[in-house]
Amino acid sequence: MRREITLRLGRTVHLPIGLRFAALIATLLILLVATSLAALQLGSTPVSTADIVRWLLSLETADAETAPIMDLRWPRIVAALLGGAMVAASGYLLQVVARNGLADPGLLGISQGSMAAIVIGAAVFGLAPSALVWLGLAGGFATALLVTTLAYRLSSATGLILIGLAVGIVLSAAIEIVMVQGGILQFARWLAWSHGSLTAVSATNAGMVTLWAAVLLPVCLIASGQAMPLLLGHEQAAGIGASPKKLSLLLTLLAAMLVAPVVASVGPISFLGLIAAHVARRLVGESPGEVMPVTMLIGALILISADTAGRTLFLPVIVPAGILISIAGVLTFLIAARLSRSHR
Amino acid sequence: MKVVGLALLTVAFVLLCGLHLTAGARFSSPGLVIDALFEHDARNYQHVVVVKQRLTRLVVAGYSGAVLAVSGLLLQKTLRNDLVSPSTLGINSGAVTFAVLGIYFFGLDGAALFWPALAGGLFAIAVTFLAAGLVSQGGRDPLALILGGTMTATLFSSATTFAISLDPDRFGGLMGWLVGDIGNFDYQPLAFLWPIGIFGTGVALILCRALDLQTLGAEQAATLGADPRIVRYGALALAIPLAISAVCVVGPIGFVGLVAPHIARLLVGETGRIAMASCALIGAIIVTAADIAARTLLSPQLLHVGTVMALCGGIAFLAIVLTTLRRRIA
Repeated sequence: MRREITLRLGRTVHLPIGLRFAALIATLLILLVATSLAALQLGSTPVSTADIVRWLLSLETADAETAPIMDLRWPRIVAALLGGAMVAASGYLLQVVARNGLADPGLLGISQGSMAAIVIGAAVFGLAPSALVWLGLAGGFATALLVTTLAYRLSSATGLILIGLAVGIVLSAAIEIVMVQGGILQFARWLAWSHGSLTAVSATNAGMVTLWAAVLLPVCLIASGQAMPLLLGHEQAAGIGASPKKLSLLLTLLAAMLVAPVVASVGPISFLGLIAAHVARRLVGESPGEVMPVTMLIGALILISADTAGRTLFLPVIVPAGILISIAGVLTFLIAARLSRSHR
Repeated sequence: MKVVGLALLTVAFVLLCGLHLTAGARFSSPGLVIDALFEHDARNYQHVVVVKQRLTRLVVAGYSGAVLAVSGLLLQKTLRNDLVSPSTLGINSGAVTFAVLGIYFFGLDGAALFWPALAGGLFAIAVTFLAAGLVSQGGRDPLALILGGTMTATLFSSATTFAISLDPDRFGGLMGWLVGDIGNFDYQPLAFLWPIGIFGTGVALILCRALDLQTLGAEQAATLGADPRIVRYGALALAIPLAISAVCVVGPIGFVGLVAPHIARLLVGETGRIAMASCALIGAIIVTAADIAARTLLSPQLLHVGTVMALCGGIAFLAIVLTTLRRRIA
């Protein structure tokens, strides 16, 4: 038997919460706060803890030296925390929908689909930035549908990933063709963006990501509770009264929605969803209602650690967070692939 | 029948070469091209463009296409897997990573990059086999090898970007090479590397029969008098340097080695020397056509040949993966 505590709200609400799960969430939250503080502190100009506390407590009376540095750092940290959580949640949703532990928005070409739509919308049609997120959403969703339809009925775990990778290659080439026309400077900027970098995040971007996260992350948590039947497979799910097709479609849409704003401001961060969901499942088992929040926290933790490491460890060089994550991601991918094989 | 196919391919290639020399940001008439080639006038600007810019590009495109295609065919035959090629096995990416490190640490350039690139290619293919072993756990799943290769390629391209971000100014001029492109000065390293291509293709043609026996399986081949181990390692020892010699010149142009053998199989079948020669020709045709497309599609703006190949080759890769999967279900 697992040990549980029961959260009682009035007479009607009794929420049983696993002790292990509660402890895990608490540990992750503490880690997140500690890492965020460290991220605020570290950088090419270190800021003392006392200054940060003073800045956090009273925004107006912060001294003239700390405030500008903080204005550069906080959007980046907010984007890393929320973006990490969103990409990780998207990866986990895709893993549930595809019933494939290796799925990830970057590997299935969804991030690239969002990117292609955004780039073409911005460069060819000159759309305003506010419209671009919606365009990215449409592009990501279309790509997700394309990839899952192509892989449908092939029932091959490696096949799905290979199809996603091939679609991703074609889309990246299309983006590259658009970007090359803007000259070498734009091309160089694109190279950094295409790996996922938080360097260019502004307060506006952070605000946009926060807005989307505020709507989508709660939806994710609620949706993950409904996703349980999908783990059984489509026939079984239909057998116990769920509607697997509708549910898969909705969850895929949700996954694309989660990725679009992050891609627009940070770029595709491949492998993040894969790593986070894999670690989360190792920690709490398979129940989606518990895996989802843990996945989000781990995703946020990974992205903020990678970004902080990338901008402090190799000074004066700044390494994009996406690069560090994909190097770690490839290794996790191979281990995950092996474990999922031996599991069967 | 096969000879006819080969002859047709040769004619197609010659015609394409003519098109390559005439087409560009500014069209040159065929008469002008012939003048430029046979009665070269160094003071005539258009003659200089045809010879110094287009002819050199044509030679580089033809060489790298042919060599990559032969390398792909050798790999597909030895590993008995329709999806392998220098790019899908990660050889190209590994070579680029090591070449960039060679530039960064030792300041190498030109043909001297061949050695670090070769080391990188060998290292990458070892990593790919290791990764594929992890994914498939000893089973022989052709898709697992490709998945391992793609992951290796991702790993090495991240490493390359990391190395570049150490000193971005130094690699600014290499941007085209990193994506895979034919530049106007690419013929300079080729002047040193061409013997590898000629020698490799020649030996590949000689080995052709023994390799065809390999496709029957190791036991069958052994009873028919071909030592499987020697042939297998020999073919790998040819395929990797061939691919590397192209990567050193033009950068990691992908999918030529994957697509060319498939087209050759459709046109002239898969066994024999004629199939191999056709494959080399098809590779040359593909890269030359991609180069024409890169120069003219958005002219005067140039595209990277590697980008054009990734666009078309990616679609072909998708189609090949899908057919492989369908065939397995049927």
